[in-house]
Amino acid sequence: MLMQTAVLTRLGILGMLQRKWSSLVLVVSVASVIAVLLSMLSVTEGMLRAYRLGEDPHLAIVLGPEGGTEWGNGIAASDIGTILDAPGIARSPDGHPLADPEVLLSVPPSGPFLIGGPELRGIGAEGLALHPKLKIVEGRQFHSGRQELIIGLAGARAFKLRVGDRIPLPGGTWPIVGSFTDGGSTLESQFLADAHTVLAAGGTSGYGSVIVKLENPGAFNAFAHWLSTNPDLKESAEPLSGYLQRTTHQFSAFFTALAYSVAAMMTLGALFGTVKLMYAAVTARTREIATLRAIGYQPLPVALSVLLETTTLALTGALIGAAAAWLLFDGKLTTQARHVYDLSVSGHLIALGLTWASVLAILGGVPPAIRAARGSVRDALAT
Amino acid sequence: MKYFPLVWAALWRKPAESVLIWLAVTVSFALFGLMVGLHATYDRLIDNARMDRLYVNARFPNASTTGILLPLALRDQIARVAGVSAVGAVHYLQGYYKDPHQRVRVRAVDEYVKNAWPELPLTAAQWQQLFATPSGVFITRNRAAMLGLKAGATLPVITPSSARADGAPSWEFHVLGVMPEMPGYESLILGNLSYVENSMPQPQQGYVGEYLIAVHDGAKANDISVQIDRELANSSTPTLTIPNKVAAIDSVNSGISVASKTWPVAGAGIFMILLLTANGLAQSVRERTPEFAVLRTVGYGQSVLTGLVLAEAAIPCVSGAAIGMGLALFLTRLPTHFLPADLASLPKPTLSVGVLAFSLACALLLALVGAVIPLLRLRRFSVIDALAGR
Repeated sequence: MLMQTAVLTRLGILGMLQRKWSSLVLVVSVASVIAVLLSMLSVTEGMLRAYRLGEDPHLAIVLGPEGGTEWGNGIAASDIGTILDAPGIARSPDGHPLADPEVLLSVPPSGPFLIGGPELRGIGAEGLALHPKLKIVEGRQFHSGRQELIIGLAGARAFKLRVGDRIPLPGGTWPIVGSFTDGGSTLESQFLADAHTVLAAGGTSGYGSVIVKLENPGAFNAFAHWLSTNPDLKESAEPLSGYLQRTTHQFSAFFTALAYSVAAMMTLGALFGTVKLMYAAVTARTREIATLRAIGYQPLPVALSVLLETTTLALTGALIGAAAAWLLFDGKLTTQARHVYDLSVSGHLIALGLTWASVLAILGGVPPAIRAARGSVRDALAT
Repeated sequence: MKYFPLVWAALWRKPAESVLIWLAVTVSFALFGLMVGLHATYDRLIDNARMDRLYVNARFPNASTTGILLPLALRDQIARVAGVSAVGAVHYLQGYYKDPHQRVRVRAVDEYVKNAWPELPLTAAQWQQLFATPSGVFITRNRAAMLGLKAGATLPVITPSSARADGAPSWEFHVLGVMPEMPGYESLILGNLSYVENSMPQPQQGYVGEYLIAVHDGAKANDISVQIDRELANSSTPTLTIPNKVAAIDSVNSGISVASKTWPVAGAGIFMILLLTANGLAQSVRERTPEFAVLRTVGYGQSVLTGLVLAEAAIPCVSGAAIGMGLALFLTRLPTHFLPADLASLPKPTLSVGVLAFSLACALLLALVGAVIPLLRLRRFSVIDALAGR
C-alpha cells in the first residue's frame, strides 16, 4: 500500500507541474493566510518575549494598597524600612537586603504638542544589583542626587534620543548622560534616574513599588504572607513575572484574538478555494486514476495521494508565507503604550503557521480525496 | 438578455466548483468589508476631531490615584491668551457601577464647556436642567442601555472612600435624560463640576482635571497651544496643550495601531480571491474553447464573446461581494457579548454607503482583472483548431 501511495503521489506531483497555475494559486492562497496570521501574531510574540527577558523567578514586586499597579505613590517612604524586614529577602555580600523602592513617571514630550515618550523609572542604590544584565554602552551611569538620566537602547531608538539631549522634567531640563542595554528586556524602553531625585523634583514622597530579590523562588509565599499579615502594612506582593504577565495580558490578549479572528476568516476563504482547486485537480486526473485502479491500485492509496498533494502545496505556501512575515517583520522595532520592543516571528510561531496550514490542507483535501477514491473506474475509462 | 442562458449554463457547468468559488468570494469580502469599515471608523474619528478645540493637561501628571490637578485659577490666565474664545473645566470621576468590572467615568463639566464643546448634543433646556440639579447626569443612548438606566434612575458610582470628603463609598447621581450618540464618545456621562468638586476632600477642591478650550481659528491652534504652554511654563503647574485633532491622529496611528493593519489584511484576502477567480475562469474558458468556436462560426463577434466571459466573471464576484458585505453588516450588528471578550474594545466598523459602494467597485474590478488572461486567450484562438479538438 505504501508503494502504491508513493507511485500515485509521484504521478500527482508530476501532474502538479502540468497544472502549474492551479497549484500556484493554492500555494499563494495559503501563503497569504499564513503571512497575515504570523505578522499579526508577531506583535504579541515580540511583546511577550521582551517581558520574558526581564523575568527572574527570584524577583518579586511589592505594590501599594490601591490600584495593583506600580504607577502612583502608594507606598509611603516610612513603610520601606518595615518591608525590608520581611523574611526571605536575599542579601548583598555586605549585608544589605536586595530590595529597591522604585517610582515611575511619565515623561512629557519635549516638542510643543507631540504625544509620547519613554517612561522614567526612578531606582535606588540596589536597583542595579537587581538588574545584573544592565550595562552602560555609551556615556556614564547617572550620579545619585543629580538631575540626570540614562536611556535604554530601545527607547533611544524609538524616540530618537541621544546621549547629551536634555529632557524637560519637573525642576528643569535633565541631561541624558548615558545609554544602557539590559539584554532586550522592557527596561530598555525606559529612562532610569535616581529615585530620590525624581521624587524630590516632583514634590511627592511615596514610591510606586519595591522590587525584591528573594533568597530562592520558594521563599515567595512566606514573604507575601508576612507582608499581608503585618498590621503596620497595607502593601501586597506578587511574583514579578506574574505582575508583568498580568499587566501585558490586556493588550496581548486583544491583539491575539484579533489576529486569530482575521486569520480564521481568511482561512475559511482559502479552504473553499482549496477544495475547489483539488476537485479540479482530481477531475483532470480522472483517467489516470481510473487506469491505475483498473490495474489493481486500491482506493485508499488514491485518497492518500490526493491528501499528500494538498498538504505538500499548502506547506510550501505556509513556508513562503512564514518567510515573508519573517523578512518583513522579524526584529522590526515597534512601540506600544510607551513600551518599545522588536516584533518577533519566532520558530514557535513558524511551527504554528505550518500546523495551521496542515489542518487547512487536510480539511480542504478530504472531500476531493474521497471523490477520487470513489470514482467509478468504468465510467471514467468509457468517457 | 438573450445571452443569459449561455452565461447561466457556463456558471453551472461544474456546480460544486462554482459554489466553492462563490463561497470563497463571499467570505473574503465579508473580511474585506470589516477591514475597510474599520478603516472608515478610524478615518471618521480623525475627521470628527476638531482643530479649533484644545485640551490642556498638567505637563507632569503625578500618577497617584487622586491625580495632581490643574488649579482653577489657571482658567483666567488661559482665557487671556489671544485667540481663545472659551475655557471649560472638566473633572473625570472614575469608579464603578454595581460590579467592579463595570467601570464608569463621569465627566463633570462647568457651564463654560457648553461654549468650548458646542457639539455636545444637549439642548439649552437640558443644559439648564443639568446645572440646576447638582447630582444630575446625562448619558449617551448606548451607554444607558448597556448600564440598564433610564431617565429618572439613580446611578451610584462607587469610588475609594478617600475620594469624598465625607468618606461615603459612592456618589449618588440621578439620570436626567439620555443623549443621542456622540461618535468617538460612546460612553459619555456628563455631570456637574461644582457638585463633584464640592464633595471632594478639602485639599483637592479648587482643582480640575482638564481644560477644554475653543479657539476662534483652527488654523492657529498649534500656535495657541505653544503660547499657552509657554505662558504657564513657570507657573506652579506647567501645562501640555494639544489640539483635539492632533490627539486623535496620534491615538489612531500610535504604535502598532489596528488601523495600520486593515489595508494589508484586506489586500491579502482580495489578492487570494483574484487568483482563485482568474484561475477558475481561465480553466472554464479553456475547456469551453469548442463552444466559443461554434459561437464564432455562427456569427457572434468578438465583443459578444468578451461580454460573455466578463459576465461569467462578474456574476460570482459581485453577488459574492454583496452577500459578503451583508454578512459583515450582520457581524457588526451582533451584540458585543457574542464576540471574543478581548475584541469588545475594538471600534465598530462603519459600513456606510460609501464603504459598500467601494467594495462592490473592488469586486467589479476584481472580475475585470481576473478576466484579462482568459480574454487574451479568446482573442488568439483558432476556430479551426478548436473545432477539430486540438
